[in-house]
Amino acid sequence: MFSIFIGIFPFITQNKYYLSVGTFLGINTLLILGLVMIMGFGGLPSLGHGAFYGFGAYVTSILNTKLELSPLIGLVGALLLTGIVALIIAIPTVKLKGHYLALVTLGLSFIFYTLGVECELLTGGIDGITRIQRFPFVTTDRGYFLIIWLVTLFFLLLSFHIVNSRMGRALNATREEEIAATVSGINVQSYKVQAFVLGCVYAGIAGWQYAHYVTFISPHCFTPHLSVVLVAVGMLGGVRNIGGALVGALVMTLIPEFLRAFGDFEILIFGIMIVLVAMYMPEGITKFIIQGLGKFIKFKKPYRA
Amino acid sequence: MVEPLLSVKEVSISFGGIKAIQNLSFDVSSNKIKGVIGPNGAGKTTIINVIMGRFARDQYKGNVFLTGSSLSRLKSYERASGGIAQTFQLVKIFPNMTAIENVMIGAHCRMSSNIMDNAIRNSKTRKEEEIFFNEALIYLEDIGLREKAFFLARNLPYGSQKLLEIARAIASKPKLLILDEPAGGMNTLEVQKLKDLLRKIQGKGITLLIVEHNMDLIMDITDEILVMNFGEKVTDGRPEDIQKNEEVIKIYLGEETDIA
Repeated sequence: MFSIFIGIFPFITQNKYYLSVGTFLGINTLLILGLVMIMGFGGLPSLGHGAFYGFGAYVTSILNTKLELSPLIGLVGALLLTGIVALIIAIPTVKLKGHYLALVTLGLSFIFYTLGVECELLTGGIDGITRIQRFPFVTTDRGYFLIIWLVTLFFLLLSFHIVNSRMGRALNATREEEIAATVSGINVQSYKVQAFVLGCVYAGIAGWQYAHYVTFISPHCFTPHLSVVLVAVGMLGGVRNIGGALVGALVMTLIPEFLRAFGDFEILIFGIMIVLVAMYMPEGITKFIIQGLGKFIKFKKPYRA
Repeated sequence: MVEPLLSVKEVSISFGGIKAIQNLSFDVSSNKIKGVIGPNGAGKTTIINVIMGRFARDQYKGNVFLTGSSLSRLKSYERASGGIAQTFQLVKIFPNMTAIENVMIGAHCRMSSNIMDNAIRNSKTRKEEEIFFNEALIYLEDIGLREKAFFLARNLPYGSQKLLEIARAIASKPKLLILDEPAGGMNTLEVQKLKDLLRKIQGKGITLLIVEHNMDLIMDITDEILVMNFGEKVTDGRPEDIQKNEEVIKIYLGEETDIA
C-alpha cells in the first residue's frame, strides 16, 4: 500500500493552479491523517480537530509576526504547544464514553474559534494575522509543493510504522475489546492519550504548513464547521487505514473544485455523496477500493503479521 | 511449609445489599491446578474480578497476595506484568485481528518498544517484532492453530477461539493462569483436548486456577477443589474428598451433573 504512495508522488506539472491544489492536498492529508490516528486507531471521536489545526497555525504565525522568529522555530513551537495542549485535554477526557468525548471536543472547537476572535491583541481578532513569512529557502510554487509533501509523507511513513507495530496492535486491541486488552497488560488510558496527542500534533503541523503557505490566517479558517467536515471526510476516506487520509483529503480538496461548476448544487451533491458512501461503503472508500482491487492485484503484506 | 503462590485472605464484597462474597479465604499452591466449583451466583466470577483488580480498594475487604506481596497496589493492567493472566467465561478475543496478532497481544507486557521506537521502526522494534512473531507461531502450534495463524479471529470456530484466548494468556508467561469456564460450549472431544492442553501448561511450571461447571474436567485434572456457595467457602480439599463430602452433595442434589 505504501509503495504506491511514494510512486505516485510529486513532480510533474508547472501549472500554478494544479500545484496549488496539490499543495493543499498535502496539507489536508496530514490533517486528516491526524484524525485517522485519533478516531480510527485511538477509537476516540474528536469533533475538535479543526481547533488543533488552527492552534498550530496561530502559534507559528504569532511567533513569526510578533516575535520575528523563523518558520522553523515556528514548527517547533507549533509541535510542542499543540502537543502540550492536547495532552492536558486528553488526560481527563479519554476516560469519557464516546458521546461525551465528542461533545467535549466539539466544545473545544467553539472555544478555539471564540478565543481566536476575541483575543485581538494576540490573534488579530476576526481579521486574523497577515504577512506571515514563507519558508526561508523556498521560492517557487513547485518548491512549496515538494516541501509540504515531504513533511506529509514523513508523517505518513511514521504512522504506517506505528500502526504495524506493538503500539498499533495495542490500539487495535483497546478499540476492539478493552477488558481483554487490559488483562494483557495494556494501559488503555495511556495509549488513548498517546493516540490523541499524536493526532493533534499532526493537525498542529498541518496548521504550520497552512500558515506559511497561505501567509494569512483568520478564525474563519478554523471553524467548528471544519471540524465536523473533517470527521465526515475522514470517515468517507476510511478512518481505519493510513491511505484513508489521502482519500479523504482528495475528497475534501478536489470535490469542491469539481462541483464548483454546479454552483448552488455543490453542497447538495456533496451531501448525497456522503450518504451514499455511508450506506454502501461503511468502512470508507479506501477499504472498498482495496477489497475491489484485491481481486486483481495481490497486495504485498506489510511487515507485521 | 512452602508459601502458596496465591493467597486470598478474608475477602468480602457486597453489591447493593447483596453479599456477593463473605469472608472468603483460600490458597493456591505453586504449580498445582486448583478448581473452583459452585452453583451459579456463588461468587466465583466475582472473586476472579477481585483478584484481577477490577474493584476499587475501598469496595472490598480483605486482601489478595501473590507470592507474598499484596496485589492491591497494582492497577488492573499491571496484573499481566505481575504474573497473572486470565481467560473469560464469554471469550474475549480480538475479532478483527488475526490469530497470531491475538497471541502477540498476550506478549505485550513482555515487549518494551514505545511509540518513538515504533514510529521510526528502529532495530529494537524490528528485532522485537521478529522474536515475538516467531514465538507466537510456536504458541499457535501448541494449540493446533498454526495453519490458521493469519485467519481473522472472528472467523475461527468457537472452540478454537477459546484455545486462542488461552494461548494469548500463556504468551504473557504468567505465574498464575485463571480460567473462567474454559470448557463452556465445548463438546467431549474438545474437552479432552483442553485437558491435555491444561496439563501441558502445568508442565511448563504455570499454576492454574479453574472455575468450571464441567465436573468431568474438574475431577480429572485438578489437585485441589474449592467449593463455593452463596459467596462463602463450603469446603476446600482433594477431588476424592469433595466427591464424598455431604454438604457438597447436598448442593448438587437433584442436578443431572453427577459429581461421582
